[in-house]
Amino acid sequence: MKRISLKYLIFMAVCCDLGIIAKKLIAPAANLITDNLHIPGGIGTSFSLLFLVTAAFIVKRFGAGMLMGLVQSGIAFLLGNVGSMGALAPLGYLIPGLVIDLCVLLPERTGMSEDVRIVICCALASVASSLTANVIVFGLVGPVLALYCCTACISGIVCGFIAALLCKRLRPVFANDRQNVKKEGPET
Amino acid sequence: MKKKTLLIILAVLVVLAAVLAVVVSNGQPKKRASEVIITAEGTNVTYDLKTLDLTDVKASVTRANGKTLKIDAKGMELKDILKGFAKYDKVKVTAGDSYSAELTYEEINKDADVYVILGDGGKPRLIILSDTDARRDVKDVLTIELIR
Repeated sequence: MKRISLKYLIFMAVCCDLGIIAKKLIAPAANLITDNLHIPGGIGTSFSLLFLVTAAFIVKRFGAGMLMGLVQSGIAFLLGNVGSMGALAPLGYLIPGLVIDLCVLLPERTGMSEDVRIVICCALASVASSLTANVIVFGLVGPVLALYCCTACISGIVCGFIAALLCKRLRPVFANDRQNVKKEGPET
Repeated sequence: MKKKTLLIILAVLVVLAAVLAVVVSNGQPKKRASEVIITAEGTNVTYDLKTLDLTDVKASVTRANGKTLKIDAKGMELKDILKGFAKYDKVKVTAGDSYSAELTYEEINKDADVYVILGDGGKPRLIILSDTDARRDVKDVLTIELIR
């Protein structure tokens, strides 16, 4: 894994925090929807993952997703926020992180624009997170599991579009900074 | 793949979710808010918690994460609810959102530990006082399945 600069690490840490806060904020509204669908979740996590996907596509280093997942699980443990997963909660953060890392590696020659890759990444990470929770805690089967995954995928796609927008807005900030470092480089 | 394709996939998923939601909703047993359905050997018995001989359940449960859950509600021990039923080895308690938890016969028959209380909105809620995490805290209990 290539070294990640301190600036990117700080950005990733902020995204981890934002992810946890977003999940907390969206939880009441998400629960309202999932209760009516008779499924135990699948929406809130996508809002958490959208920040991880944004950071991963800005940083573009393999391992960034898993690193953020690890940090998020650490924060969740410290806040006593592990939910029903208990001691297995880190898995629920690491697996989506791994999926994000694999999606970042998707080659550009696949013909997909980066926006599309971000949306697919967010959707896949969201479904991976839901399936992990299902294996560890819920044990859903049949139509309920299908609905649970379908809901996770829908919210993942919606959050993916938001992540793509965020990436578009944030990329110039980091690109400008890179140019400045290059300009300042020879003088120092 | 273009954004338009993604939007089409999103629309298809929404339709699929709507169909699945109808299928899941139709598959759920119908009951009033305060009722629980007990399933034993293929037969369903519906109990309205409000009509049972409920007692005051007051407890303070400290979880492993340091959070304290204060309980002050009307409820009944699960072993008392299941008294008239044939012998069972374990019980699967399922909520309206398909979340479920399992308890063994021994756990249920511990004194003053496993309760079904009237929770938010008068919906039945499974509370296990000796549990150190909220994993088996089932809100809006829909069915209690007795398994041999």
